[in-house]
Amino acid sequence: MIQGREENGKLIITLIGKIDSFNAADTEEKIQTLRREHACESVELDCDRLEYSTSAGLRVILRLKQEVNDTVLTNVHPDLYNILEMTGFTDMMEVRKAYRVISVEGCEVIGAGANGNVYRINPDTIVKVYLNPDSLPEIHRERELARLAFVAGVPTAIPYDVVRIDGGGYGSVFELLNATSFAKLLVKGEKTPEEIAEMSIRLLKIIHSKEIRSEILPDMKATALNWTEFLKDYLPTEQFTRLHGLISAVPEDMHLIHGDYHVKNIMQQNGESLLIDMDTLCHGHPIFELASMYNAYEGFGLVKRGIQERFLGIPDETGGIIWRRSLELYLDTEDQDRVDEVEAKAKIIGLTRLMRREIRRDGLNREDGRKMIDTCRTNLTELLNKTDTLVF
Amino acid sequence: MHSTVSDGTDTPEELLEQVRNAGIELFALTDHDTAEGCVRIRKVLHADDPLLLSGIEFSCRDEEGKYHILGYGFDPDSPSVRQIVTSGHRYRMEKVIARLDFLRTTFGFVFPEHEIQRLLSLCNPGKPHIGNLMVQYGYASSKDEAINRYINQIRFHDEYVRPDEAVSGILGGGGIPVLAHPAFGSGDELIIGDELEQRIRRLIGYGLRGLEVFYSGYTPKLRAEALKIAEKHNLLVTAGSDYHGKNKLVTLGDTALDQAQTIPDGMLRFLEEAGDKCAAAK
Repeated sequence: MIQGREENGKLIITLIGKIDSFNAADTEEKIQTLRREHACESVELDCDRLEYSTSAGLRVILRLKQEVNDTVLTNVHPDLYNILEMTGFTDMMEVRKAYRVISVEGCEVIGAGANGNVYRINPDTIVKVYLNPDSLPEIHRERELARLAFVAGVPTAIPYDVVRIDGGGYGSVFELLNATSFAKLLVKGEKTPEEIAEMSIRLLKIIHSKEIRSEILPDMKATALNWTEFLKDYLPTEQFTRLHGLISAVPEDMHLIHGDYHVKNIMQQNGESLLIDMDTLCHGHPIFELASMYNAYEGFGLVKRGIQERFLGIPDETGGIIWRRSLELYLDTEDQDRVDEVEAKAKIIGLTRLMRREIRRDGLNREDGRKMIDTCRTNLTELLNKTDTLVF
Repeated sequence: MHSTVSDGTDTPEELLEQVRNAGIELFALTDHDTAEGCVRIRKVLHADDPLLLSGIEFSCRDEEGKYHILGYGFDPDSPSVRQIVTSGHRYRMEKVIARLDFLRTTFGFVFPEHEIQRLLSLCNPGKPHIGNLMVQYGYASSKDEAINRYINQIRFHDEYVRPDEAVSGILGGGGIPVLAHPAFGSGDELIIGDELEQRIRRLIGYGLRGLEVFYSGYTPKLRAEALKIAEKHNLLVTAGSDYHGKNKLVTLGDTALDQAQTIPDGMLRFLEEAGDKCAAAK
């Protein structure tokens, strides 16, 4: 049996029960009828309720694909997926697996980020659950980014499965045997802040050495210019012009940037460091990376102490130590003037982002928000007056 | 391609007209277990028509599984082909009668005598024909339901045409035996890898000469696998659309041969032999 409906110009056909040589001709006839009723240029065959298909069903799919090039299979259960893989269907058309449903109720929360929580569902498996219920495109994008980085030689955990979360939403599943986050290594006292800074900068240098040209990688400079534009009405004209000029003058750069590099997003597994959160991956000059690191370790806590502790799970002071030591290691210097100079450049971009963020979160109507916005503005004014370039 | 003589929806004469219009130069009608349609086409074929290669598709079974074995270029009147067609037809009729009996005694489904006679007068009646009759007389809402819910309640394990019989029968009639859609068995199976090669080796032992490498229902991967086996065993290579007429997405002449980068040597050899056989049949 089949059912059809049209959604956003796409014909969605639900295959129900089974397809074999006895009903293949009827199935084709019904598909043809639906195609006549709905003049769509793309077809989705929803296989969630397809119990099984013999090779007669495969021929129906193939012939439809030959007639309608933009045909995709969705919600394909594992047995059928294996057959489609063995017979070469997955090479010639888009075949999306059905999602397993799992529950994260009662599981340990091992990380919390802007996009969702990370749960440990068993000793070797973690699931990153996305807050946005329509997060599938976001999940697939992050998987693509992770793959891109992995292929380029960046040690990255690749999600091996996407699951549906009982109660709503989707998640990415990672297998992480004996993996511990840098944050946890610090809290457990297994590593000192200096050791963590050293390990994280060693990995950061690998990331920054990779030059990748891909349409799915955003340009961090363009993003930073958007933040700046937002502040046009909130900064004195002279400062705004100066800020805009400084960011515009940062040279184009195709090297990778992680974009959210801190101790919660780096894991240690069998003595090696690897990244777990790749949705912020982009390309650009390393100053933009340092800006986001500044925010993670210092900026968010500019006004409210204890924020880092809640966010990173490590004491504020520890965050500060890691940040300064990271800068020394990244710049390969112990010259504190040089470290101060680069920190100031990173702060300019970091504070631009923080100020915009706070305004967008209705900070102007909250006392603590106004305090944060004022602090950002004052700091920016001071730093902009003594900075000629963001390049280091 | 298949005509109304078996499970297609176009008559042999209609198919000839379509073949003419499609600009096809060489064709074969391969109805299941009967060459009746070829004989009919041959009667109305003009001298300047496309070349007709006689064809048949035998449904076979042995202890190892089910097969569809194509015969090309045989003499439909040869005793060895007629013998298999006759036994195939007899097995089929016995099954139809047994199925009708089963439906009557188990479910109380009865049909007028003229319908039963019409069914038995067909060259190639099977489950779909009985299913259609059940729908017509209100015993089932669809052919699918008729087959799965009622007809399939009785299974036959008795007599079938065996692949070795089909292969030697075709050879005896001067034809070329070819394994149809190798990975799909009798239509519903999926046989690939070592299992497929073992099955083909066994059939080669019986005298099989070719593989249907180009087939409308094949992905490039399945085609490549079949071609590899054909080349390894020096088999002839054929192309078939499996056109069944209306309501199927396959179009007449779509054998996927147009996707071949080069015409395999096995196919050139097949065409050479087929051309000779067509000339001899004229």
